[in-house]
Amino acid sequence: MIEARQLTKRFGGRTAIDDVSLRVERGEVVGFLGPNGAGKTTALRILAGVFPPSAGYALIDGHDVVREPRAARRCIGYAPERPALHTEMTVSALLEFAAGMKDVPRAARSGAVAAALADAALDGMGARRIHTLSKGFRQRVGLALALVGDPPALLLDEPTAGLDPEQSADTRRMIRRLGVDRAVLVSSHALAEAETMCDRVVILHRGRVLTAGSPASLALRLRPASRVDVEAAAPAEALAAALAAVPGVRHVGLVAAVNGHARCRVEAAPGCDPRAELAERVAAGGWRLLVLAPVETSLEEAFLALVGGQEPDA
Amino acid sequence: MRRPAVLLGAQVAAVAAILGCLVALAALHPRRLDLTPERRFTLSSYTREILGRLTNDIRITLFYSSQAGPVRRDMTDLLALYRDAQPHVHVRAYDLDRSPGIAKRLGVSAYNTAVVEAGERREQVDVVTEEAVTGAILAVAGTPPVTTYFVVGHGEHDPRDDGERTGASDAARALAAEGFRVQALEGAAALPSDAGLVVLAGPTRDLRSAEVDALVAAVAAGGKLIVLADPGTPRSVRDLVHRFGVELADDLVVDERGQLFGTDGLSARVTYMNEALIADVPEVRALLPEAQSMRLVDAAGANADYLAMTADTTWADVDRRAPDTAPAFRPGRDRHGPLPVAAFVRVPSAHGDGRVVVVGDSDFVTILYLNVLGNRDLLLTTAELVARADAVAAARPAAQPGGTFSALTLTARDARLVFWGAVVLPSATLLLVALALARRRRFA
Amino acid sequence: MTKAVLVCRRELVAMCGGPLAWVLGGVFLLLTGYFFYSDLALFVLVGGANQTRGLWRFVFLDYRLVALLVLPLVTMRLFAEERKLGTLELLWTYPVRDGELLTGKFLAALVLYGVFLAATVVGPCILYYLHPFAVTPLLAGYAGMALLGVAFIACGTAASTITENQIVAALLTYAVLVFSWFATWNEAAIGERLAPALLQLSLFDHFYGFAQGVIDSRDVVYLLAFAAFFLFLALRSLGARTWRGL
Repeated sequence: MIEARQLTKRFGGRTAIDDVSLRVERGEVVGFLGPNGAGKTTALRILAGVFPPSAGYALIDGHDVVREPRAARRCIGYAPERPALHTEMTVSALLEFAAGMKDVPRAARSGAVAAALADAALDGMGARRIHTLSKGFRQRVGLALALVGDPPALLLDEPTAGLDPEQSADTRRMIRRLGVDRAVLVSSHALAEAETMCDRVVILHRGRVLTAGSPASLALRLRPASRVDVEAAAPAEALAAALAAVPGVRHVGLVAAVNGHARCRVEAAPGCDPRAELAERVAAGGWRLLVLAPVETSLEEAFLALVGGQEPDA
Repeated sequence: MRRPAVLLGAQVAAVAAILGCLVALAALHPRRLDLTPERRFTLSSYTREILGRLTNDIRITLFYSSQAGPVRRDMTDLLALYRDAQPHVHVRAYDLDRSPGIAKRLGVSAYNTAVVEAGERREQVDVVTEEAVTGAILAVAGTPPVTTYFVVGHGEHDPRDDGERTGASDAARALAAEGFRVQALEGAAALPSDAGLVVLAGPTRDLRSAEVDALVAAVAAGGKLIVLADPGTPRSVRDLVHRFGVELADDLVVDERGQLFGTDGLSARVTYMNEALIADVPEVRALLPEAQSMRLVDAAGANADYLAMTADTTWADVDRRAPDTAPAFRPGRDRHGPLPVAAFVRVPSAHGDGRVVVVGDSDFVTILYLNVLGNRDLLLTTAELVARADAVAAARPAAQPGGTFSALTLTARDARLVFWGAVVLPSATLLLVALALARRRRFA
Repeated sequence: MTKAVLVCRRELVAMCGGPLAWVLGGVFLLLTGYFFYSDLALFVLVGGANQTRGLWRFVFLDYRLVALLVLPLVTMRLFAEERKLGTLELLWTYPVRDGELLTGKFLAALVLYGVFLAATVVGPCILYYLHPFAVTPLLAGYAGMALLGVAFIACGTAASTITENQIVAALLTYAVLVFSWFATWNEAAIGERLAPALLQLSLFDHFYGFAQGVIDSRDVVYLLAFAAFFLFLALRSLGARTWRGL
């Protein structure tokens, strides 16, 4: 439904995106991830038909956005990062305008507006003027605008930006629901929410695709090792040596040693949980165990590490 | 790959070039739709008839100012009309600043001046309008002008006088454009034989009986006379016109109810002209500052007709109380309008008809009043009527009867209506709506 | 309804929903009314010259100035505001051509101006009621005002597509229009050969005929060409997103 093939876009001397390819089918929600400036918005804009690519193809439902712009645009609903709203209008009026612009026949327009309101959980808000709405509701109006006319493909640029956690969660649920019978491409810079929302994820960095895959496989790749912090009343080197001997442990690093206490960070192979053995080893050494805690790699940290150029482990 | 900015620049230049060509093409084949009621952009039939009578070459040289684009375009367009209508007319245009030599040779020192030449004769046109140019053409190549004498010496308006309230120099110039050569004549006792028209412009002292007789005799021999007589005119003048069948009432025509926007209500508006005498006059709007009415009486050998009447709202203050006191109409004594303020007399004779026009006011020809409303045209019309038997019966160019007689008069009450209706009401309505909307926004 | 009409309608509703359009209309009518009244007063007092030359010419020449003042303020928001709000980006994702967007916005400004212009007829109507006069020169004058409006609005629309700041758009429009006016004032400085060519290009000279009661094809073609040029510029400016980005 949504397809990008070797999409490249250059502005003057600067290359915004280079050789980006992806596919989104109906029933899928695909997350487009990357730090700010990675080129996500540019790619979305090309897919939405705002401007043509410098090289490569973008297709919506088989229509090339450059050769068949109107046919392609009829199939998409686009929601930019900052909701593009005429604040003096009422919600319904704006939706009706969008319906007209999207070639919804006159007779079907009010129905399309009602459907969009319902889908975006804005029932009963049709008569409200947009400037009276809070940020959360405005975001939803942006979503409703994209939904008007029931397009089979949705392109959403950072739909949860600036929302509080509850609103964010609501939005994610909504997107999941919408994705059931549509092709949805969502961009975000938060890996965590991508996990809950998306079937697949494409990571963009400096205009190029870094990696792609399901969130689970990605999580695995980004967390190459499970780490455990062990603190005991023991001399540092002895502790380190004892812990290193546990099967599955790859590396032990000293975090701190003070007053006869030492804290070591133990890295084990992925999927391996050595905590029980580590505890035994400490006890066997006759030292008092103080802390035995897994270290979660924050996903952002891992992501940054990845983006920083480190090779992900196979 | 070419830089997009360069490509864009090329496209813009191409489009500009195409549009420029279109504009240039249009300039080569201009078409005009002249919506002015006087058809100002076509020559009047009067001018065309004059041009049609031309047999010799005429050269018109125009000196324009490079600073005043639109004026220059007006003038060149006008002269182009002459050239198109008559191949004998040749037109050249020069920038005065850049062609001092030619200007000096032709005696021109002011901008926007034209010189009309035919053979040796040359005539300068200070304001390039159709009537001035046609008048100049007439002067150099057309019918000989009418020698016109303004009698002076009895307190009349002197054509050499530039005083605002007393001088008739503007009137003389206006007449000159129509082909009347105006000169001053001291006393009317000995009228020159070449006098095509004699004008008595508001004498305030008595004429000698010899002068009166001379004038009467001249008319009886086919002469042409215009008498402008203010209220309070001397007895001899009253007798003079009485001999032609016109009795001056020596009253003051007052027009307070129809008082004009900007005037004091004591002036008489001329609103009717006798169409049997002057054809082609749609409406008349002259304003006579201080006029008396008149009456036709029987006189031997003279056929008199009313020429001009004032508006319905005028009345005659028989004792001429204004401006000393504010007059009020006295029923039974004062007379209601419309009142006759001009008469036309024909005195048949063997040498061709003598013709006289009597107007109950002379101030309308002074510099101060000549350009008010239709005064100028009243003067010119009467001059033509009296002096030219074979006056070209065609419609005249603008500023002549047909165009200027549709000038506007507006009472003070009317003016207030325009002010409130056109200035205040529409804008106030919109601004109030704006205010309402702004408040709604703030409370929303 | 074509998309252009949809855009036009939305724009008009938005314009009329806020106080600005009404203020501009009020100012327009106040100034044109004032000029009409004072030109009329002058004509009645000093008149005698024919009405077209002595009254209507001045009235329309003055109206021209009011249009110059007001129209750039009408057009400044057309595209600049949409760009700032981000709604322009959204419009570009709809199945609509740039030309349709441009037409719709242009029409909206034109309609608003048309209403202002139509309302100025009140003055001459009152005058006609008081004293009938020949109406035909007014047809020429209003035709000229309409065409001049088309030219000004085209220029203003183009300026509005270039920037997202409304004030800058208005200033740009003023700059272009005033330059077109002054360009031919100092002919002596320009040079004799260049002068006639530039004269042909002067925007305000081409209105003069209309003010005098004449519809000249040269003037009509020029004003339409002027408008066409700026509309082309506007279209290209909208299309610049391809290589300039948003």
